[in-house]
Amino acid sequence: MRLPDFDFHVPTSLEEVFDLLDEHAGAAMLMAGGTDVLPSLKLGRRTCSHLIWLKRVPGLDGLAYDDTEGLNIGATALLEDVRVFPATREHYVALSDAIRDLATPQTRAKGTVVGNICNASPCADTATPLLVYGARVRISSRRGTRDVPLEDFFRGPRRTALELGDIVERILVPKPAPGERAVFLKFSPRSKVDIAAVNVSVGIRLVGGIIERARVFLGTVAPTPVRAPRTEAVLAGARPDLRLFERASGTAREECAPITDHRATKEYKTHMVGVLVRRALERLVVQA
Amino acid sequence: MSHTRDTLIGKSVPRPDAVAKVTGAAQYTDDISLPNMLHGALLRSPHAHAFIRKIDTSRARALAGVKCVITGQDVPAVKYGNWRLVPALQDETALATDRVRFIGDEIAAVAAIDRETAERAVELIEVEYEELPGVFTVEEALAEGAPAVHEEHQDNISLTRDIDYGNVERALSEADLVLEDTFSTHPVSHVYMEPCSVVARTDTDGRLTVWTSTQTPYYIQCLLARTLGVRENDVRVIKPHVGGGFGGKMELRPWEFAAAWMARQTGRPVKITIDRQQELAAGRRRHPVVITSKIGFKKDGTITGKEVTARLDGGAYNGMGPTATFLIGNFSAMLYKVPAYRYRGIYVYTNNPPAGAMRGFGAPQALFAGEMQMNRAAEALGIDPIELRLRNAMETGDEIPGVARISSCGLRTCLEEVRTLSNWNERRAASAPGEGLGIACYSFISGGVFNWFNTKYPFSSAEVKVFDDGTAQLTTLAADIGQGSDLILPQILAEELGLRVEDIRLVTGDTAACPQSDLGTWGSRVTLMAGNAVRDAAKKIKDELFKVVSLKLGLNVIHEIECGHGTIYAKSKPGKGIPFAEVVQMAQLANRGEPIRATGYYTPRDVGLVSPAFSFGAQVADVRVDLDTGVVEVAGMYTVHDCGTELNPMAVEGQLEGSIQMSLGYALSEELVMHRGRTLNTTLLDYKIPVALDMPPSVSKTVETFEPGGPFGAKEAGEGLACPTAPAIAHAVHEATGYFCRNLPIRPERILEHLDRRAR
Repeated sequence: MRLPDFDFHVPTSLEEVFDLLDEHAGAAMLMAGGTDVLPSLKLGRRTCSHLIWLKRVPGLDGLAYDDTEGLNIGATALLEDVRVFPATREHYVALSDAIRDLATPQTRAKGTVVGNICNASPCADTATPLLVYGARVRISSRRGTRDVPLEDFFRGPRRTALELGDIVERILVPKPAPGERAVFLKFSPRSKVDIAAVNVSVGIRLVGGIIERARVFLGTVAPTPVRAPRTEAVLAGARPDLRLFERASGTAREECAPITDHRATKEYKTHMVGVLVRRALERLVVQA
Repeated sequence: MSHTRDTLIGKSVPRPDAVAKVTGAAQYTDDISLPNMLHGALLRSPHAHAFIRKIDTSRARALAGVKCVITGQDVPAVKYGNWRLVPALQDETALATDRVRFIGDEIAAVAAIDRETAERAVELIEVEYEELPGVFTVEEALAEGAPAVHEEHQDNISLTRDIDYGNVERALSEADLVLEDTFSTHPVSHVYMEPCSVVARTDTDGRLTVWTSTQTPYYIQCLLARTLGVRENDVRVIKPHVGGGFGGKMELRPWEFAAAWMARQTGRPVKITIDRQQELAAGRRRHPVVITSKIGFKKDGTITGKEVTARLDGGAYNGMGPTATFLIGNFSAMLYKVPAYRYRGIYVYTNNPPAGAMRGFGAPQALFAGEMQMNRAAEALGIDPIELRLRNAMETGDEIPGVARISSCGLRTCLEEVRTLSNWNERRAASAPGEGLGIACYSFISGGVFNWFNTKYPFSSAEVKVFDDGTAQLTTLAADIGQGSDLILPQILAEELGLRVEDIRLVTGDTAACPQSDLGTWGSRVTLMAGNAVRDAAKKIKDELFKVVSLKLGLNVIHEIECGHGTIYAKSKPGKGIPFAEVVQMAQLANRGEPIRATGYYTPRDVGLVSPAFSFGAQVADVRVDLDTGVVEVAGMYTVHDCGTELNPMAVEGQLEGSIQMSLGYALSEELVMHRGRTLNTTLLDYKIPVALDMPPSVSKTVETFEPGGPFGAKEAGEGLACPTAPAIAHAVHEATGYFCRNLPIRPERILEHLDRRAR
């Protein structure tokens, strides 16, 4: 297990990043914390001949919140910093919970939220909460800047909407509407420190004892984190009770299509999606 | 008349190497860097079974920085293996000659100026294979017309072992209850913290010095000499600090041979370090075994007889398999009085990576089957599982005819104590759905008796020198691989000589410096065997020193003399001793300057076929099963064990904690997932060992017995404890959910399937 040969670039401005991406189009890879990139290079799952390290680009480590714009997570903002950020804990509990359950303290102190998203693993722990909160990805390139909804960002396992020359500059997470709350639940059967076999995030907005709307995203059960629109439809406009949760849980099971791997069988993952959706709803309503 | 002096026996003396290890100061093999050193890498087979038609190394040789490339064609094809007693069982060559038998089988080695170059050169070696059909399970291997893994064994059966006593047919026909069950166990990795590494150097006088991460420096010396075609004394093996072995480092490995050969050929030191991926993909593993067990009981729970068949998936080579095949038979008849017993063990070749010794060595598999079956029997007979065990428990003096005699046994007390400790009766009566207590017992050996390595030396040796500054030096090849013998052996010597542990200096781990010989660290043999050798040497030293003391104090011949508090004195007059240093000075003077030194030995004789002593224990697991998810949480472990005299409670506690961690993984989370000979999970991301957060609270207690064959009454502690945890958890899961595990590991899926079936 050794790293392949590559040139290591340490740009100090976005312009320089764009130059490098132009110069080494197709042969370059971006890296923030390196907790996904380096192991995947070592294991031969990815290759690159130019590695561009973003940690020295000023401004990319920004982490900010305001009531109108919501949460703004820079490309090199660390997982742990995002987790303990007061606004995350106050307004985005599902996100801070997801980071709490992600890997080890060492990884959280090196890795980044944007990296977790750009790695585009179907089991990325920060993906489903960010999806539930309706996050947008701000993509920059020499051609300009555009915002892409996170829902449209994932294109397949390890594949994203990024094109040649693109860099994810930050993730923008709108402030949840009043009465809107979300829960992240993860399940890994083998150890308390493990990659998720299944993870889900469920958000609901309760108005006058009725679920006005619901957002349900499932991780690890498809090539990308996926939305469960039929489950959302079951919940929308309904009064929360255990029978409703049972129905939603059943619909979520029908809506997912996991595969069997060495972590768990597809039947078991399907079952677990149901359990987690039900438990997430129970928790959301108990909290209310 | 009796005088109790301070004793070191039973004292929690801390380990002298602990600080060096936690601060990173301790030097392991891969930390060694020699001037001009080359770095090696191995080419391994991508195929589970294939002929090698052609190997072209020209492109690898041409790569700048490459100094040496060897294949099976370039070196003598000497077959080796630990079973020197039966040469036919030695079935492995360091590098494949014309055929590969598992994915990872070593084919060629490269030495280059750095590791990157060596690894790149390995990729440039071109091999033409002719793929052959393979066999990947015991069933496939034993099927009619299956491809043979080895020409010499067309039926893929490498060997069978039998144990037979009493009339099993009659015993089973007279039983009121007969149970027959088949259990299977899975392959797991040792996951020692230090992956294997070797550095080899040809000395200026032509001798080869090899530093290697091993449990058995003596075996490496002998087998390396044989494969290289040199004399044993031409090879010096040094064991630096070793980060665990658990049975996985007790054979000669191809990289040791390759590094040595390439060091000789290039005249430069060569290092080869194996990474975790290779360790998991191709390393030795615990034998998967299919065990069929038939056992008979009288209504009152008395066992009438037992018949066991075990089929081991040995993988491509024998390794330590012949021993495992016998030990499964032995352990299947331990713990309880079994008046009639028949065992057949079958060692089966497959195209999986070879299995090998691993903590418990046959016992975890045998006792998973045996203890699960005892629990099933308890249920069928309507007898409490602890009560059923008490009715059958072995006792001191019991014999397995022709195999072993039990010279000390505290099993009954262990069972009674663990019942109290775990609050068994009350908790069982009051358990809620999803909660359960489970029990299992173990017995284990204190070293092996059978001389399969065919050594011509004593099994353990220790040289002791004493100095007139009041210190002593202990020299022994007994190998500390993390278990703590570098503490326990000096502690034993200090106790014998009446010194402090810090007065003992230790020389160890060097075949050129240590007395011949010590068989190494396996089978929980070191404390008993090397400990006895240390005591033998100490006794010889004391005989010398006591002459001087007798003379100096003018003692009547009826006096007993003792060492203690740094002095030597007549036992009845402890206050009137002579300082140890002074006695040594006088003895040396009387000896006309010659140092006071002695070598002690131990070889087990006339103690059956298995071991001089057996430890015992009982363990209760307290589990909670999430009935929605099937996830098992171990809420607590209760252990009561009989390891004879507990020499160092802190060391025993460390063993216990470690064995629970390892066995928790065996029971619940660890498994090398195999597909047609390929190991699918080859990183620690995917191969899940329990971490600190997964560890359950644990309460333990030691039952003191006195083992007459052990030093100060001590016997095995810690290896046998690798056995009861999986069946205890499985039993608890059964109590909690009704799911009865017959094939490890216990998976949440299977628990849920069971619950679903029951609900329907």
